[in-house]
Amino acid sequence: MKKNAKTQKGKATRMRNSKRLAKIRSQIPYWVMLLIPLAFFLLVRYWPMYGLAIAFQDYKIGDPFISSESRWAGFKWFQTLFRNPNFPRLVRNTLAINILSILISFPISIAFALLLNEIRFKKLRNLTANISLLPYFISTVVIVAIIYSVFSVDDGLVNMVIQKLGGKKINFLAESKWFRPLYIGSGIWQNTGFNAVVFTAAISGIDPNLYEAAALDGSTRLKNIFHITIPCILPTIIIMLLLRIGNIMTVGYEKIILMYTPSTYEVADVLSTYAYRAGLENQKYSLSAAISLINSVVNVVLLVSANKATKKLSGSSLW
Amino acid sequence: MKKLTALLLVLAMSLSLVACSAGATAPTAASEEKVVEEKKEEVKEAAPVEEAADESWKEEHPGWLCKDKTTFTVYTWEGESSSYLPPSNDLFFWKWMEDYTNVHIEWEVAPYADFDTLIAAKLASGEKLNDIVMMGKQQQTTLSAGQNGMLVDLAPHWNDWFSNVETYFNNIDVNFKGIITNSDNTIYAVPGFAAPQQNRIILLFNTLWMDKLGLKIPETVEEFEAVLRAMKEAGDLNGNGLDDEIIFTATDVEWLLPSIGTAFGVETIESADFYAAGADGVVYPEYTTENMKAMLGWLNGLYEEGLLDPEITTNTMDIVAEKVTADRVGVVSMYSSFAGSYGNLTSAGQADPGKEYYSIGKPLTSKWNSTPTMTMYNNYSRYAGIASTCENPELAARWLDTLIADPEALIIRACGEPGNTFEFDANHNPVYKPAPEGQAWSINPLGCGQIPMPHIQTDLQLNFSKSYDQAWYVDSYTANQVEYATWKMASVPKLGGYSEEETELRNLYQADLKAGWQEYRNKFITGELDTEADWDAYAKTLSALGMDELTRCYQSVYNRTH
Repeated sequence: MKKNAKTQKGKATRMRNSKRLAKIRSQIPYWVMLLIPLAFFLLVRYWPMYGLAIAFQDYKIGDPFISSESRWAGFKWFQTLFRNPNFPRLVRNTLAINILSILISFPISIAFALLLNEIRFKKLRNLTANISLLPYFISTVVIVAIIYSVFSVDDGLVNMVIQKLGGKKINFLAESKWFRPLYIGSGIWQNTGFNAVVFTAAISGIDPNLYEAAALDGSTRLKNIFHITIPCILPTIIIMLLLRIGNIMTVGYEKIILMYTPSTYEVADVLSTYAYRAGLENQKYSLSAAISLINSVVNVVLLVSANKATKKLSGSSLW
Repeated sequence: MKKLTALLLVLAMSLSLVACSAGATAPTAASEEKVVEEKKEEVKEAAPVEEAADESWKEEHPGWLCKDKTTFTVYTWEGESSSYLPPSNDLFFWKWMEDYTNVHIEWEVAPYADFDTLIAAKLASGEKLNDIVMMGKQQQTTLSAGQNGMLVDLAPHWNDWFSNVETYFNNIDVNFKGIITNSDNTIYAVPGFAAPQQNRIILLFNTLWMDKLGLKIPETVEEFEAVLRAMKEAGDLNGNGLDDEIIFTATDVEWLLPSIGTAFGVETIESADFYAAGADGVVYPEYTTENMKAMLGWLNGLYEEGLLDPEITTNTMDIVAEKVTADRVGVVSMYSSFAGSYGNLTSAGQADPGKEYYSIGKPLTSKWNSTPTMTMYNNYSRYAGIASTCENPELAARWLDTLIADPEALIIRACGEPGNTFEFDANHNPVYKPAPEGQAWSINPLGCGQIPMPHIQTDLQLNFSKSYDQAWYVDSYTANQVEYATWKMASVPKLGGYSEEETELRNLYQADLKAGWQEYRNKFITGELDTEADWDAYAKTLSALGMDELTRCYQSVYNRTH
């Protein structure tokens, strides 16, 4: 009897194991596929991190990143950065540009997704979505060239209209007060369609029965948005918001470098553009590395804090 | 089967990704150690130029540098002339160089506008350098690379390897070698461009507009203002029915300074730093002088009156050329050599290219400086170095020496393509051939086009230009030489003379200081800031950005090198 039970148990274990093995075997392609992003992150994202060591060295061109001959400098470059009279301005601009972008463009993407969802004609909805998506695929250089030609004080479209209406030409590209509106506005134009994709996908996943039930109760479309759609996509909104907060110290420097001039440094110069100028234009590679390291540390701290806060407040979080 | 195929595909993709990434990643610890070892090594003794027992090839080909064809790789920026038709482009010259020296060059060419950034990135990346490397416009790059063992120290072999350069440059400036020699007696790069440079940034006047209004080339700041006002009041000078005339423009504010600054006593030596040394040997920053203040205030007046291009802070060279082409510009501050091409770009110039449509102006005077003064570019530029990884640095050096100052090469660079633009007479003097009927030679006076490698201004070039359609340019230059004083300033050395610590100090402060100056300068001109009310705050900001530390640094360099 005992032997029989043992045999039975052994059989069951063998079956379980072979099933597990078969399952693993059937999943091998997926595991291998996972290797691609894993290899990408390990080799492209993590492996070069050892180069951050130069933030603590007096690094010079031609030096290896870490060797017995490395000239270690402790926190010298961090102190140099903190003592730079422009440092408060760099931090202020970095935060201002990112926070304004989040405050303005993030709700616009959500609103756009909600409005897109309300278009009844499917073809019109698809057409609108596709048109709004197109600017995302235009390169930054071209976007900035468009900004320059549209807002040029000499022959820009906007100034031509202002002049036709009897107004005085505005030097949008040289006056510092116009930099942020142009930067953020063009960002909204370029990215709203793309950013809305995630929210559109989340909206399409909402159970239609909820809307049907609400309709039976006499709910209007506006009420549906506030009481069904938004609550249902709230976890997605929170995750997207957290991801944005996690990059709050990182501004895409390419667009700023293409757009700013010395006249607009006051509001446009950010940590990443300064790191670019310091590193590549003036060979202060250690200082550039120190700036990047600070950026990343602050980003991680902000991300962890925001994640904790949202978990406590809404129950949604990244982890 | 499908799964197997998918598996194989995924495996192949993974492997290729890993391979690509591994190739792109930084060097391994082992390779780093090797780099360190390599750096520790003495710069290898130059292998002698190959000398075979049979030296008949030297008699047959006096210009050959080696018996067997040798290849070097060269990293440089692209030449503007590459899009010109022969003989204005320089392709024939490089072909001639290969035949003449028996050295083949494999080029790696980068855009001129980004070159400083690209060379800095290339040096920092740890990748093997090309044999011969143009070092960009920032002299610190050269010095840093040299001090880190990436470039060959040319000093020990100077007289042997660079005999042509030594002879040629010494005729121009006896201090030449002292200026390119560093404080530790090293020389890491050889300049291809030497003083005195006859081509300078100056005011160019639209001749048609001036004639239409009966105006003469102004000589004082007040007269210049009157010319600008007359153009502004005349309205539709280009006759296109639009209010699109731009009275006075330049590529950037910085391009205004050499033509306008001298009138205000601002010494505008072309430099990464705005420092000068007075006759008493005291180095001072130009950024905060009273003269600079007066000039910026004056420019603000022009801006407010609509006489200065509203896009002066955002212009580029291409945008200015576009404005000129569209017949919209009255006065432009630009290199004098552009007078010809700018004139030919206008609609009148295209219809009749033989005439002068932009006249080279005169240096202005004012109450701040009553002596007509032209900016003198008594500096050196277009430095090229030889990588310490180059297998035959002597041959590479000799090739550079030929390129820059070999008498035969100079003739070809100055006179164009043998048999096409000129021929040698019985005494081996170049005799120019007439241009095809109805056409004019248009060799760029900056060289064979813009030779992307180091080049120099030569009298031969001027003579050639004089023989053809740019004679007016030469005449103007000659007249200027006679009539006008050049700055009697003793410049701070551009490359040589800086110790490693001083280079570090420059690297630390230079970019911030210049950015600070540019920011305030633009705001003073556009009226966002007031030169009277905000000047002290401006001076304080620049001090905080390191102006005083740099002044002390330059003073000590100056004291040591003069």
